[in-house]
Amino acid sequence: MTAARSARYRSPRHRQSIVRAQHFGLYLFLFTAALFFSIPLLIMISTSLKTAAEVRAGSVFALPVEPGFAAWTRAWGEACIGRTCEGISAGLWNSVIILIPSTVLSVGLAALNGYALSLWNVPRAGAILAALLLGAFIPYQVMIYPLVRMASTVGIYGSLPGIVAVHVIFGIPVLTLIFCNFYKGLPPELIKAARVDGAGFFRIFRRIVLPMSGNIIIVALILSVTGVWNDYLLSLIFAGRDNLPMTVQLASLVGTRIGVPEYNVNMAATLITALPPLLLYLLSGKYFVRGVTAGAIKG
Amino acid sequence: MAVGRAGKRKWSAGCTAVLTLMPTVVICLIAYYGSIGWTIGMSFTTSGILPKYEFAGFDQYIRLWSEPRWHTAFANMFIFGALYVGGCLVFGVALAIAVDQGVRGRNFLQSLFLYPIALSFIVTGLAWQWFLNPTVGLQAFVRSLGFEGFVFDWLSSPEKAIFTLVIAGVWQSSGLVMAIVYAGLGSIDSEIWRAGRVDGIPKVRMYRRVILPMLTPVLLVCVVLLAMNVVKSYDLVVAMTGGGPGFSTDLPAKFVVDNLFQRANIGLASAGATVMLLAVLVILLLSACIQRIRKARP
Amino acid sequence: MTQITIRNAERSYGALKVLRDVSLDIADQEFAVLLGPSGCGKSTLLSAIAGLDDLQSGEILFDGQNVAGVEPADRDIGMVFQSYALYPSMRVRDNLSFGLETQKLPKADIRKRVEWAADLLQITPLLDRKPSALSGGQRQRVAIGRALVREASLFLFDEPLSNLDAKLRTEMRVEIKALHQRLGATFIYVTHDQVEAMTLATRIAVINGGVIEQFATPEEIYNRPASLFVAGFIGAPPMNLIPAVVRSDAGQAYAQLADGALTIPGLTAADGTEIVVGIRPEDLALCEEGEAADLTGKVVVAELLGADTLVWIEVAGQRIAVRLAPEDADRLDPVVRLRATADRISVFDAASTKRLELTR
Repeated sequence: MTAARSARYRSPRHRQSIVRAQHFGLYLFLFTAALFFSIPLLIMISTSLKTAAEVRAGSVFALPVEPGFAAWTRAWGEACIGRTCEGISAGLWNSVIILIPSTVLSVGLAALNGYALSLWNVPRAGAILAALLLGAFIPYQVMIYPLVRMASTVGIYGSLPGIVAVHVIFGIPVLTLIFCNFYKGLPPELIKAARVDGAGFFRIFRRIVLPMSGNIIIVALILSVTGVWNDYLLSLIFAGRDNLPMTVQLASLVGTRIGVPEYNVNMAATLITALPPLLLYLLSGKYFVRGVTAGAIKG
Repeated sequence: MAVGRAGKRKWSAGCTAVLTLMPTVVICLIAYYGSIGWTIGMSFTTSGILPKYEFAGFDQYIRLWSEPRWHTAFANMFIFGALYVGGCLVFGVALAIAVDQGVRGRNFLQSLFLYPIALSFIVTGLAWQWFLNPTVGLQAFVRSLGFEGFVFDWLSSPEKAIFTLVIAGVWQSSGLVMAIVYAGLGSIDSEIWRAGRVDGIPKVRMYRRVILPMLTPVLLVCVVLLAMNVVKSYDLVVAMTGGGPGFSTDLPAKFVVDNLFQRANIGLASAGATVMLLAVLVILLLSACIQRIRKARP
Repeated sequence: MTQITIRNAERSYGALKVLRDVSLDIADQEFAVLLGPSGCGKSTLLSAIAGLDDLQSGEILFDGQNVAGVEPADRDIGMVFQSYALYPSMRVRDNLSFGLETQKLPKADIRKRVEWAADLLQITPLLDRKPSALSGGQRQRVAIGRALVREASLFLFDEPLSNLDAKLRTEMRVEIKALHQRLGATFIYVTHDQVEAMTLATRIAVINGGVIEQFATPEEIYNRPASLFVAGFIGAPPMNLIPAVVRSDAGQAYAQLADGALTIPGLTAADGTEIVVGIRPEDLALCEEGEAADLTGKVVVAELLGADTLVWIEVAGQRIAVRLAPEDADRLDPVVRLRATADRISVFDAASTKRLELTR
């Protein structure tokens, strides 16, 4: 009886060796992946800390002999973009003044829209949302020229209001979806109770809905900030020469082919441009992940 | 009593909701659909440097398909698209599953795999351009180790430069797939796994036969998002190859922008843009169909 | 003082008709309960009374005045929701005063009313807490408090007790009843729980499929159900419903069952009419020795309830519940013979499902 039974169990040792091999493979894969993801960043950092001579002499993987921020200072204030040699610091300021109104407006409007669409009986709410989202899926290239014409008709082409308006228009659909999905999760009875209490559309929003939206506002802000900051094409076309943000300045800085390319300066400029969203990413952690996946999961 | 009951019909809060919604919705819809219509319209005109409303039938499309540059761009969209979507999907799913095995340092690894998504394609492109640059990057490094014959010059090779875009794209976007799939894996009922263990089904088999099929809707979302990136890809090409060498890494998005703003070929660009629009609509329709079919199946 | 009249109310969502030609008269100071299974339209009706949902046709009158288009806040109502719907970001005190602030009442008045309601509901110690720090029962009290401070003349309750456990539910039921007596306001209360309905209501409206099946006092509903639906819905277990055909024998009509016949005094329906005979489990008793049986069947199972025992008996393929004293249930033969209390039998027309009046 016992013999017959034990024959039905497989030896645990056999299992263990398989598990060990699988474990080794798993960690090897993760290690390789980690290298793949970190190398470009590490190389950028190390290159940006080298001198120009070192860059030419050594390999990309060589660590800087005398790490210094000379390249960073040049990238910040001296590097040439076209014929002006003021670095990309001006771009930072432009990026910020584009960023603030764009994100505040698009997140604010999206929150209001999401609230109206999901908690109030707006006729054809589903169709409105679908129409907005479909628009968000269309490549900019299809709309860009007519938008240029529309913007110049209204008189905002090539100006700060122009680029802000374009960012808001293209930012609203996905943000609205995020707010809609969140507000749909709130109990509708909350709104009913507030209506019995005599509160109107805006009072309910301000006193009841907004205080509950903290997390989702953070998520939306992160999504909006990264989107606006990292934008290249729209700014290039709509911002106008005086308002070009960092991404555009960076691309032209690197593209400026006067004399020997200064790779260390280029990398420093790239890092400066990448730093704000990168910091935001590191600081916000889970919210960021929620932001990038929010549109995907329910959309 | 009957305080406020007396029949005066008050301004209802529902109307406020609609009125609040209206301005942004109307502006957005005009901006989107107005422009789309306008672009489609212009693709049937003789517009050159400025829009001209002179009907030209399919002339611009015929011109488009006779341009070798467009042919390259259009073909590249499919090559780049297939490799980029496939690469991100396979790599992203593998990462999600690997991270889901209860490995040490999971949070750190996830942050590491996902950070490129916080960067702009411009930054991504520049970083990879530097790393893959034959004269200073990887090739030079391997050669300096003593392998003089090592060649990795994809970036400057007209045939292979498109693959460097794929590498950079996969680097940028696999993390997104990982995050989405990882969330999907977390939503799977743990009893499924217990049932599998009781039945003695190996993990790999579980993933292939049970778990991934359950995640098909999630994977489909990833495919759609990635496919959209392909059609929109402009920044990456500009930063990494500038469309070169020659026009070998041109993509429709870049073709259209160049023709609009540098070559002043508005009619031609509009025709190209309309083709892009069709590509997007095909992607959306396909995914909608697949979803419909999946739902219809019991 | 509020007396409510609903005339021919209709509401549908797409193809789904939720309310069909509903008319109802609720008297002043009444405790009206809208009772029915989920999805029957009772909550929609309550929402329409509150002004939260519009009717497609028909009208609602408060004291004879049509309230169409009047905002909920202007209807002089207080409302308690199933999920309580407390504002999560506000303290209990602010939850209570939010509506009064909206009305721009003087601060002192607001304070007085909040204190009065809190005292009445014994939630004074909770006033400075957030809803998330309250137990289910406490939230329930706050929700009622929020309705009370409005000093409305009409209170609406939408399944307020269904999220509480059994013990608390009984406790709150008693409190709500006491509140009704104390406030002298009109209450309309939606529930799917017949015990709540029976214990609380002055009158119950039983709703099914958007139609009011019966609107009557709890006694009437229990003893003289107006339709097969009411008969099968009220009572635990509900009334035994046995299909039969009317036959007459020498001018005396009787009900021909699948096996056996039942004399029903006052039955006047025409020969051959298909009917359903309804008998409450407590209206069946075991036959004495030698007494003629109305029903005969095999015992399936006996369920001990404490005060009495429910015995399930199979009669002609149908299960029938009989409520017996525990000592009788203990010594049952495998086959039992039953006798029905003749004057408590209900009869329904099988075709129209409506109650047939007996001439007594």
